[in-house]
Amino acid sequence: MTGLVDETLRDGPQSLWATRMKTEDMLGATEWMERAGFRKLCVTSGAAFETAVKFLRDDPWERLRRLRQGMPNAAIDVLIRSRNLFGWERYPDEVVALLFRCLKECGVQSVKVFDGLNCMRNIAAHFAIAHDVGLKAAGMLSFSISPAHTDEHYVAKAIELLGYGVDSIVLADPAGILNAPRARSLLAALKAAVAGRVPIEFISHDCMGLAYEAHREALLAGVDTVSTAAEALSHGESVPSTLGILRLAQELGCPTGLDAEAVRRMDDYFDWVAWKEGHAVPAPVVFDQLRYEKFIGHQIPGGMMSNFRNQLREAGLLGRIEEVLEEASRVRAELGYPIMVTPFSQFVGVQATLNVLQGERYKTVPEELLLYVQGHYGEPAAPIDANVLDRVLAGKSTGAVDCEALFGTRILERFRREHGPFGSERELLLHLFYGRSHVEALERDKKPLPARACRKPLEVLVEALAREPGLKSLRLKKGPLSLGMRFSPC
Amino acid sequence: MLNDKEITYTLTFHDVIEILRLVRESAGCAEIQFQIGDLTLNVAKAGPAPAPLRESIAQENPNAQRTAAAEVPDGLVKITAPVLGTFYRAPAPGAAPFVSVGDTVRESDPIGLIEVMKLFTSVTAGTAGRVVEILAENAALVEYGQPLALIEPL
Repeated sequence: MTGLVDETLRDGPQSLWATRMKTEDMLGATEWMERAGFRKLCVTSGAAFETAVKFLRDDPWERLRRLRQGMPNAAIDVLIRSRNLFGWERYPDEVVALLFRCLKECGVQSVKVFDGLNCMRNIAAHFAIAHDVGLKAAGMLSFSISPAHTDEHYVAKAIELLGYGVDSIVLADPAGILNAPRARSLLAALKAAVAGRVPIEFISHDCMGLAYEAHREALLAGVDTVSTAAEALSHGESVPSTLGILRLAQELGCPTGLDAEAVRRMDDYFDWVAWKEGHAVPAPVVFDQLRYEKFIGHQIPGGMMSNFRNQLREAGLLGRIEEVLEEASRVRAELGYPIMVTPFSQFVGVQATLNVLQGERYKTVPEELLLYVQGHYGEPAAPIDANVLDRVLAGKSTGAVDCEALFGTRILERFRREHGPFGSERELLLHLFYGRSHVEALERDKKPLPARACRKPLEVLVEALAREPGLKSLRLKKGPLSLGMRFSPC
Repeated sequence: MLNDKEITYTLTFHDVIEILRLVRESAGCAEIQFQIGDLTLNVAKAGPAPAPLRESIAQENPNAQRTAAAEVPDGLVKITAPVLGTFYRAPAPGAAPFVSVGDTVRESDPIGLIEVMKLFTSVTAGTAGRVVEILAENAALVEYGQPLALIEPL
């Protein structure tokens, strides 16, 4: 049996809506989401926490508690970005432990942890810490295409993860570039190496139009879970749709244990959320060989590409975007093929822009990139190009940085002393990740959530019509219910 | 919680989207009537109405008051579309039409159906009399207020 992991609240909004789904909207269909029978529901991540605090002014902890309340029997999952956790700095083990404890208290059952370099030493401690506080923990392998990212490379990483005591291994394809032949060979290699010791999970995005062929292979290979989202939050840069994968699973004779009717109800609700928020529902992508080949070189994710275009426009370089992207391909290779996710996609994109803008490669290097080449972020899949290292580190105090030195350090006591006192450990974490001004603004601006959050179409209709400008009156009859409204002229 | 499944089923969020879209996009409409399963909804819009509208218009017989004097031959009454959608003259494909020219109808007799989003609203004669002319073609898209048939009151 293949389980489905729902990403309607996490990957969907992050990939399609700039992470801007409000807590209130998340709560509207929890009854159906729980009943649908997903193996897990991934509900938040660092990006979601940050957006909730800084832009939506939704308390992300309250969001978790309310989701738990709405889905008391569901397995709630959270994505963790390496040592950055929910912030941008690299944090020591004691912060990992505090975050995991707070997540557990809010009703989370499991975390899945990734590192953008697949440098598993960065996240080795996370798994033991998760187990200490009673969370399950999955280790993620981020897929990329490069001379360094061979099947053997992933097998070695999977075996390393097993050694750290992961509860499952997730093969994730953030850029949606895994095609059927490669999915077949890679999954076979992983299955052989893991040998049934832990489940293998699969996440692939539809950016390139390969998600369904990759999922076909994944289902045939007998992976334990695949990740999907409600129709309105699927396809494009997101994961495939639940009903789409359900159809595929039926065609292949793979039982999923899903209640299709509940999934339809859930999809119906999120179509409404998308419509009222003005989000277009992306269509499944059609594969384009030329686009694919151009993309494989730089692998700059779609979410970043639109920002990147804007930056190039401001720098007066938009006309030279092809040149910049070619340069990004070179930079990516020279930097050892980091997985093109935050923050490494930014490193590559910015350095490529600077190289083209200045007409001289690596003349200017951002501080963060300097740290990167010194090993601060861990070890990339391939060694960093020796010429680039020489040029970047010329005249600088060199010597490799021990990326693990900070793991055992203590920062919380001092942070509490200097910035406290805090109302709770959860509040402390928000201060640590996002700073005082944002947390204060959150406290000031957040609106109370409705006590009963599950939405029914009829009440939504009446509410929407009651707010609709230009109406004189409405009259509604449904069974024994009769409702009349007369609007005062404005 | 489980047993409300049937209650919510007759109206989906998709229906809600379609209703709101119709309310917003039907600029020329003074009044819209929806019928979805056991749900009946009348929405009257404020502002300049294309025809004089009485407050009680949809209470008992939504179509009875919709007669406009213009363009109707003396002594005849227009039956107009209560909502925009697809007009059907028969209750089912291949079935006999509800009415034909020359038929006598009572006020409450159906003369056709209008389909919106696969949901059908019955159009009643609104006036007792004889069908003089059927103006809208079967399966044609009709607008709100568009004349569908002419009745000679008896």
